[in-house]
Amino acid sequence: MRFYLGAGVVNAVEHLSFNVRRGASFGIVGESGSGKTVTALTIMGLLARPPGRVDSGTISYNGIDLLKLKDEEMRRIRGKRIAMVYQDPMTSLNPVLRVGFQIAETLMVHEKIARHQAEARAVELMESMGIPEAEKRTKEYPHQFSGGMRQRIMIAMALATNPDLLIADEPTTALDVITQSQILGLLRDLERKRNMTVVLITHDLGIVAQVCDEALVMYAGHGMERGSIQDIFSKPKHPYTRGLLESTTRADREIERLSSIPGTIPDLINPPVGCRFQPRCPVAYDRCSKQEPPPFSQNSDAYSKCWQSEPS
Amino acid sequence: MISTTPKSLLAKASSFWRSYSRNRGALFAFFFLVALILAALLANYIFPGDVEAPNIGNEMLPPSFSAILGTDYLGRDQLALLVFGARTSLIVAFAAGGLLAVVGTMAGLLAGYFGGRTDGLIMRIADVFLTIPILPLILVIVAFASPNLLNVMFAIGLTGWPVMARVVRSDSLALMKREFIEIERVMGASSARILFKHLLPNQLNSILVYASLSIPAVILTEASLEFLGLTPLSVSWGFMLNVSMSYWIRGTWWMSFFPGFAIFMTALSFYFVSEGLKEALNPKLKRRRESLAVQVAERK
Amino acid sequence: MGFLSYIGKRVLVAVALIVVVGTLNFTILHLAPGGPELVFLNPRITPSARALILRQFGLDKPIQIQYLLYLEGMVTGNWGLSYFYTEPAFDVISSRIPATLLLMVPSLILTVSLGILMGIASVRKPYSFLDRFLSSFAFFFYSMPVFWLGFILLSVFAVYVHVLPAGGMLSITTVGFDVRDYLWHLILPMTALTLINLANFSLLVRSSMIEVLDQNYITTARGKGLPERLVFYRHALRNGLLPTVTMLGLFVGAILTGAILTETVFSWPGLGSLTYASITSRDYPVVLALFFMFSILTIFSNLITDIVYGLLDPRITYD
Repeated sequence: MRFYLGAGVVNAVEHLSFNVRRGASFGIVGESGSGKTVTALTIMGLLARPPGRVDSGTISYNGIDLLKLKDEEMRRIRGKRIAMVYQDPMTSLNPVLRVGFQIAETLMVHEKIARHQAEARAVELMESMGIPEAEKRTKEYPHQFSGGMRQRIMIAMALATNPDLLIADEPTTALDVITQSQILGLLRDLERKRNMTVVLITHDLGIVAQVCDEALVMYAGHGMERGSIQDIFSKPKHPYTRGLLESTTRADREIERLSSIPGTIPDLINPPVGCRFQPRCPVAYDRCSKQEPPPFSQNSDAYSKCWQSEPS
Repeated sequence: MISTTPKSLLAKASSFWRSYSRNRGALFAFFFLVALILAALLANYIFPGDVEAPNIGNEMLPPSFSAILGTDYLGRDQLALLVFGARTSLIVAFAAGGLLAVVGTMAGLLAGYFGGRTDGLIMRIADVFLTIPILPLILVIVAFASPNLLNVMFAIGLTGWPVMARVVRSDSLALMKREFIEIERVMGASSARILFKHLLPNQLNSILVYASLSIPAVILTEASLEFLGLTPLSVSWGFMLNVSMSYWIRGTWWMSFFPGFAIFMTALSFYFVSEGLKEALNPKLKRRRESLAVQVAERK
Repeated sequence: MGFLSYIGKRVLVAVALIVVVGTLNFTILHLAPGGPELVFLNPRITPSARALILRQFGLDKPIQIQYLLYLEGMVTGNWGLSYFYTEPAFDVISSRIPATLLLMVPSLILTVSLGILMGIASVRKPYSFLDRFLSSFAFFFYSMPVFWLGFILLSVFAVYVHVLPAGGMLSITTVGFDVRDYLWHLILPMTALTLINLANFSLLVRSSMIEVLDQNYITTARGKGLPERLVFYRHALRNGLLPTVTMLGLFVGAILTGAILTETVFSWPGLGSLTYASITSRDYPVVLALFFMFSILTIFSNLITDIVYGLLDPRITYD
């Protein structure tokens, strides 16, 4: 599967291109405001069309360009073949509908099965997500569950129709560390057992290292570096990636002080000319502030958008 | 961030005026109110003589050249009566509105600043006023005290503050969480200082908007009180409507229509003005809503 | 368990409010120039009535006792003696309640149902022409005095065109209660009362729905690939209408107030016109008692809407 995205309205995402292999686990990393969620929502077609807009580009899924589909056609794919799990489990479930029903709803709409059948499947799904006493609890409401449980319910909801692609937007940010590792373990299991492609969006490099095979590092709406996990973590090519790595705690190294990348993200309404990371980049030179670097790649799956990576 | 900060007061005023006048309804309303206020102030010059004196022989005449809005049951010119009646309405509107705003702001500030039990207490009292029907309460107050204009002003002002208090309270609570307040407290600033130099100035815009928003209700309440005969002043719009109740069956539509229309236009104008103020003073709200992409990006 | 404690709390608050209102009454009574003697001891009343009042309100006893006696009187329906009718105020008031209900209830039903429809219609396409038209309609009527609207309606339909009756609830010639006669008389006052409150209510519905549509779980619902129709009616509406139930309680207060004015204009024989009559005739006991009655009605309807809300919101029903 390949994705190419064009510019959004507030230049939210620009010149982004990456591809994801089927069955792989792909991470999109970046700080808040880097365009990760916008990318995900654009893929799902969930961006509200007045103000949001995709000006150019293609999103290719199984050979189909998602951006060229009509609303109704996209709706049939959404939730059925491509599903998404959202960031905040506390507010992402409808508080006045029973949990079992919310899971069953996907099945009823996409696979047109009867309600009691769908709800039975929902019970199975909840069980497979590790929710105890699933049969009784399908009749309960979201507020009666803990955050971790709600996240599992959301995953169950997403997986109901056995989608090819699961996009998980910061699925563990709102959870405590223990629950976090449980959920991540769950995702890894799913990916293996169902041969599903998982796109994991996060700002936490640690998570990416744990769960993903490949990753894309985004900054200010641009994809700065893409590569396999080993490459990115041991041989980062982009200065931003390097900066990120240096500012996280590592289990394999003793660090006395955490460094941070000085400065703040640029204004997306009036972005700087040239490379977007240039104002904060420790190794920037002349050319960086005048011309935007193209993605320089060693092979088809890895690239780095930096003049330093230009093959000489 | 694109922002031009005009330094001089004149520059600020003209940029305010520009954004305000973008709303044509608000603009028209503003001019209407200015005209009304001027007319009320200059009433004695525009209509010399005793407007309230009965003019026997000319009772209940429909609109004509000599009496553009007709005459009332005592033969008096309605246009003149309306202009004099504007005084009552405007005075009560501004006085009660002002009282309401002051009390409400103070209550909201105190509740937001002190929090805890003070907050709870103030909000409980506010709740009482919100649950009890206001008009009957004011009726009772004014009926039992002596029914004059001053009491009406007090009654309306003292019962209408809860809505204002709620708004100021939530804004204050939000402001209290900001860092600069923390800094001030750590530096040992007194409560009064924090309240009046920080909490209040930051909210002046929304206070102004909400105060003007509450005026239509004040006008309608005051008109209702007069309509029910609580304030036997012959020159007030509401009372003119009260009187017309006894005569409308004879087809004297002008006795009911024009006073009511005056009430309606004035209330509507204040409403438009408040909307205009809202748009002119809070451009941030409008700009943010325009870009969902930014919103989505912010939500991350 | 959670639900019962919720209701319990609400009932307690309601009772407390009633006590507060009673206290308010008492305070006003005693702060009035001349005090309660002047208010209640109308020189026109008979000596036996005077003795009754003296005993009942304990006007010669210390103020705490008076307070308790007063509260007790309020609870037991002893609301003083009307000057005008020389009957207990309670009887005068309760005989007029049905008429007011006959006006208020249909108006309330119409306001709520049309208000919800209008609110939904404008929210389907926010900022569209329909939306802006309905919003303009809303604040247009919000600024309109209900008695003015009433007069206009009367002048046009009753005087000019003689189509509808010029006031009252039943025609003079009617004996007993004729439903069709009542309905015919109901049209104009109900229209006036409803139009104005409808505007307000639809704006409330609209803003509640807009807030709901902004929520994360709506994005989740769309992300499941649900058709927009389902998202709106099943997911958004159920959440959006919940706050309107609470608002209804407050709305009853507004409709009551409106009823006072409307009844006066249309000579509808209910509590509203009684209010006007007793103010004009300075029948203070009745005025005070009416305030108490209005408060009870509002507090009670707030309690009911709170209970209904509790039943509808699963967050309360299920702990």
